[in-house]
Amino acid sequence: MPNLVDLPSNSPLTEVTYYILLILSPQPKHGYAIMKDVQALSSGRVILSTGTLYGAIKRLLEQGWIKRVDDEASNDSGRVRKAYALTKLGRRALEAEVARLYRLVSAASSHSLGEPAFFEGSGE
Amino acid sequence: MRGHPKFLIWLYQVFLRLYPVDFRAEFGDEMVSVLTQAFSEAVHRGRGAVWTVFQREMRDLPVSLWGQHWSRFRKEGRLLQMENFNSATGKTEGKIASVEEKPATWGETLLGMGPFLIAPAIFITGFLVTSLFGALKPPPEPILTIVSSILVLIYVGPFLFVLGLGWVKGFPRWSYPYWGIALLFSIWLMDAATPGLRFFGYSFEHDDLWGWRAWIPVALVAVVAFLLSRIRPLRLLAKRLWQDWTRLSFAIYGVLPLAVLLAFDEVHAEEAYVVALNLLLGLGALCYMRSIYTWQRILSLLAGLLVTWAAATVYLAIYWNGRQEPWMDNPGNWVDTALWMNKLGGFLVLILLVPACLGLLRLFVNKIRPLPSA
Repeated sequence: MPNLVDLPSNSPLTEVTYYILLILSPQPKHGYAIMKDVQALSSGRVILSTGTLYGAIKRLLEQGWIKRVDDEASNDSGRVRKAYALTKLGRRALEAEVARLYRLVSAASSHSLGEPAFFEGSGE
Repeated sequence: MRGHPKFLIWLYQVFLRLYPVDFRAEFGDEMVSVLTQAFSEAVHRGRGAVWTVFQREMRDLPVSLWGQHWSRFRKEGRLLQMENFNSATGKTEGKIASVEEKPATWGETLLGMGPFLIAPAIFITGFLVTSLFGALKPPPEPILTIVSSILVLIYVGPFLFVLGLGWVKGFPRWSYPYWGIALLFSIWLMDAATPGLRFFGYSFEHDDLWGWRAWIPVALVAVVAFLLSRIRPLRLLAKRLWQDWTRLSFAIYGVLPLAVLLAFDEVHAEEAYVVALNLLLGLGALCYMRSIYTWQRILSLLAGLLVTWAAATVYLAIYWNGRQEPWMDNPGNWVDTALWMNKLGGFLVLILLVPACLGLLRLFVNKIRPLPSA
């Protein structure tokens, strides 16, 4: 279980933000890698367009949750590609979100979800 | 299909130009690079896969464009607000609170009072001309036409110039009443006939309504101003209205001289009183221009309207009480006149406050703004 960092004003995160932070948590990645990893991590459910991806990246940069770093390893055409890395603030936000989700799932698992008929709306 | 589809990438680059300049400068190259990689990979899966990638980009484009332009709009608005706050208080940092702008200079204040000084200026000129030349024999027709046309130009020309200047300057606070009265006057003039009016040889026949011609002066000013300054002033207009809704109220306040003139229609020897009422309205405009806070500004406009309208109501109630003109079925009485003026005044107050809805919308948007999460 991650550290419970309380950032109430920053929760909950949008799904796209959550996935991007999660993907950047082990190591810096460039735009295309983020796009691919989001798709893989969400089992193909969330497929980002470039506009959505860079809109989110711009906001995260402004919030100071991620930062830009040079991606030396992927220098394929003589140009240094830009990669993005999680900052301490971004890591705290991610940890807070994971903790929040953990609490929600814990609450659900410790509670009866009711009869199927209830969800089907069969009551008259 | 070999390599990545160059045409689709070219098309994507064209659409990229729709993003705000700063966003494009910061991320444009990266976005093209990412899309190129996505296409390169999709090419191996066939034409359908490439099309799917492009379709996804196009589907998300409107929302993404809207998001970036909205974000930029808000950011610039906040910067403008902070700059204004700093210049108003001399501070370099601090809470913005409700302080929005420094008070206008006396020059700007005088410009803002302009629309309320037009009627006094016209009446005073008329009085002087009548006093000086009234006893003389009128000049022959061609000279009379030229003189009257020049007199019209003396008032209309500077007004239209200032109207255009306001546009070119990005709609500063003083410019709003000019646009308010120009737009309302054009609407009113459409249904008006001015038989006998000659303007440099052009004459209006009897019952010849102005119609679309009423919009020619304002349209000309707008076209020239737009050609001179392009889209920037319109963007500033939207930002400034969003930042301070009282500007729109000030534009509405600008039509009040016309409302006063209409209320005094058919009243004899009304000139001195109309001049006084316009000066009262001008006083409200002065207080508005010199105010800093939103509550001071709207209070200035409301006070200007209420005091002027109350004075007009008292005068008209006394004037019409017991009076019967040839076109009236019954003599007037002060109660009916006062009631009618009160209804009209209440309506004007409501109209003046309608722009506050914009302020409420702004508060609402600020409240729901999803700043913390991207």
